[in-house]
Amino acid sequence: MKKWMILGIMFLCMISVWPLCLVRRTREERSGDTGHLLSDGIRQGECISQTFQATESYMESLGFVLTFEEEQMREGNIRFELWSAGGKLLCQQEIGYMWLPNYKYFDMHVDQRLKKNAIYEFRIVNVDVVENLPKVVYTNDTTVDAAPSVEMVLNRERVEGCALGKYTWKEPLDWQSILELWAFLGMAGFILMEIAQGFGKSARI
Amino acid sequence: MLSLRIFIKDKKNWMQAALWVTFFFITAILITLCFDEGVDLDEAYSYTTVRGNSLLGIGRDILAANDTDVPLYYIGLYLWTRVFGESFLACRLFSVAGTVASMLLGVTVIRRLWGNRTSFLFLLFSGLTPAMIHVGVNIRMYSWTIFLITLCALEIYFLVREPDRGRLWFALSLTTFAGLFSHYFTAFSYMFLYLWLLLEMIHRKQRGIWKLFLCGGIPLIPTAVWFAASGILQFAGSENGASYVQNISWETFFSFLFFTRLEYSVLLGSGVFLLALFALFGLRKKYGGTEWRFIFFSLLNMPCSYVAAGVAASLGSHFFIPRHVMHSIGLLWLAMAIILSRVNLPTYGFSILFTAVMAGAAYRAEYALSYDTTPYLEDTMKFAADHFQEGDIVIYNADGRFGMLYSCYLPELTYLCFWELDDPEEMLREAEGERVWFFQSQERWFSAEIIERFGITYENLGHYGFQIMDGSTEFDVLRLEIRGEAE
Repeated sequence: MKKWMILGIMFLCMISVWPLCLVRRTREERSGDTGHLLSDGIRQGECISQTFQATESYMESLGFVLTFEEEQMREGNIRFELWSAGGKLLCQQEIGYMWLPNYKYFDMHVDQRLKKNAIYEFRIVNVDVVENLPKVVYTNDTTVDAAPSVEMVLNRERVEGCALGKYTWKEPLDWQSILELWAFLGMAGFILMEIAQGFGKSARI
Repeated sequence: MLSLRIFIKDKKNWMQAALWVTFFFITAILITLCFDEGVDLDEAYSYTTVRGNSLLGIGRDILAANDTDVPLYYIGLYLWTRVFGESFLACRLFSVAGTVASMLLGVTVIRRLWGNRTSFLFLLFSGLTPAMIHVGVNIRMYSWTIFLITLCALEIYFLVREPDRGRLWFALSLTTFAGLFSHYFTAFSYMFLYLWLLLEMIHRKQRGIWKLFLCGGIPLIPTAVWFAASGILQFAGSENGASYVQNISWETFFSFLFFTRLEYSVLLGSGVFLLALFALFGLRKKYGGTEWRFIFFSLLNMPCSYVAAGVAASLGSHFFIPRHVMHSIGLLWLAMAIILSRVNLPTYGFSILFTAVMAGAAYRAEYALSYDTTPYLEDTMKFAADHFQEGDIVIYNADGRFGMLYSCYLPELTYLCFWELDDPEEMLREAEGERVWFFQSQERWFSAEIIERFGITYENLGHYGFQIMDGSTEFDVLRLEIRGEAE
């Protein structure tokens, strides 16, 4: 009974590696460090949106860069939203403005299954910031493209360039890593099975 | 014809033939990595110590270096190069020979003791795992020290069973001496091997423990004399020591053994190690005895040596990296090969799969390290043939040790490290009228005041380099004109 249970768990673990692809590796895409530009300040109720193409089917996090006058007070909230092309809100989160770093990536935890190659949009909405307005850092350098940028819109006006982005994807493992994991799970399963059985006649030392 | 038929019909012969095919296959794989024309700093040290030297000269040079080096490997390499020439290829083949020696143990002694399955897995482990594939072609002593430690462990294994065999005691002493004189950190591997022998002899109530102390003690005498002469005590008690303890971590340890570009390679590798340990304890219930203890001590020799050497290194200023204490790695692979080939057939099959995939990734990484890190070499050598003359002076502003590396390729030039010039002005006075070159790896060089005073002009002849490593050996070659100091 124990034997079949262990072998069953081993088999489940194996299929979770492949074909189910539940074990994935992290891949990060980020914008380049050149050609940085600053948008105008995002006023209360306005938003900046960036559409992009999903290069993988699972997004772990998405980072964006805002800048502001560091010496001045920051009060109010900013909202991050992720939308599908069909207009479905996939996730949103409000962040206290005071917690945002100046000119550094701020990673939003997304953890969403997306459709590979489909178009998505993230928005940064000024909920209630009235002073020291945040500006989005974007780049016109398209040589280092993070997720393929489609369009950046600020206050309903298209901007030439794309918002700095750090897209962290969970991609399926390559076939060698899958084989390596399978081999490990196989070893683990059969060793545990043998231990559970108290080692049969196959073991001779 | 009849004997051939009998040979073919016997399954054992087939298995042996398969083992030998594997042996030659792995050897051939290692040889494909030997045509690398790049050398790292350690390799450069080995190469320059041996090239154009004599046996006495090697000893003298190593002692004069006031380091912790011991001469046996260099003597071996020197003798080898007398026969096969002084090319990098020949030197790399000497390291391959060390791995081949370990693999020979696999197809002979280990096969007889633990069977074909263990032998096959040991061949894969000792020839193609990440660390082994690297040291197998690196111009250093590690492939040989791994062989010596594995051999020593097997000698001890036989001695436990037959303690009255005088020749074996002699062989043990000789192997210990060879290991100690190849790399000083082998002492830690030997320490735990001798400890096992001592415990085993006490456990078996065997007489003749004095032989153990004699065999271990005799090699220690010349070692102690050598180290006293080379000034090892200068490294003791340094304040820098404590920082070396920070290098000790299990992640570093297992990375060294298992790291490849495959996902979770280190985690899975350490998992396999732990599984083997679990399996060994499982096997103990059923099969105890000397053999079990041998495997247990073999499996733990390397982690124990690692910790012990790390602690020892913390008391001195000499550097400590896992490579220095990897001499027991062959033993670790032997223990794992024995365990994984005995649990059951599926485990054995998965072990082979695991090792084969790991080996593939390790080979690709080593191949890239061998052949993708010398993009400038061909042009550099062509440039050197066209421009440099014997006796030319080269000033370089890379790390001081790179002069040794440059001299592997262009030995007829005189190298001066810009940062190590005691008196740059004196050097410039002496260099007046000479052919002087500057290998500029970084921007900083002579101050504007010196350039003006000595009337230095230069022409940049292009970007060249040798092996890319350690912050790069790339440089711009400047031809200097030193008109002389202004009155």
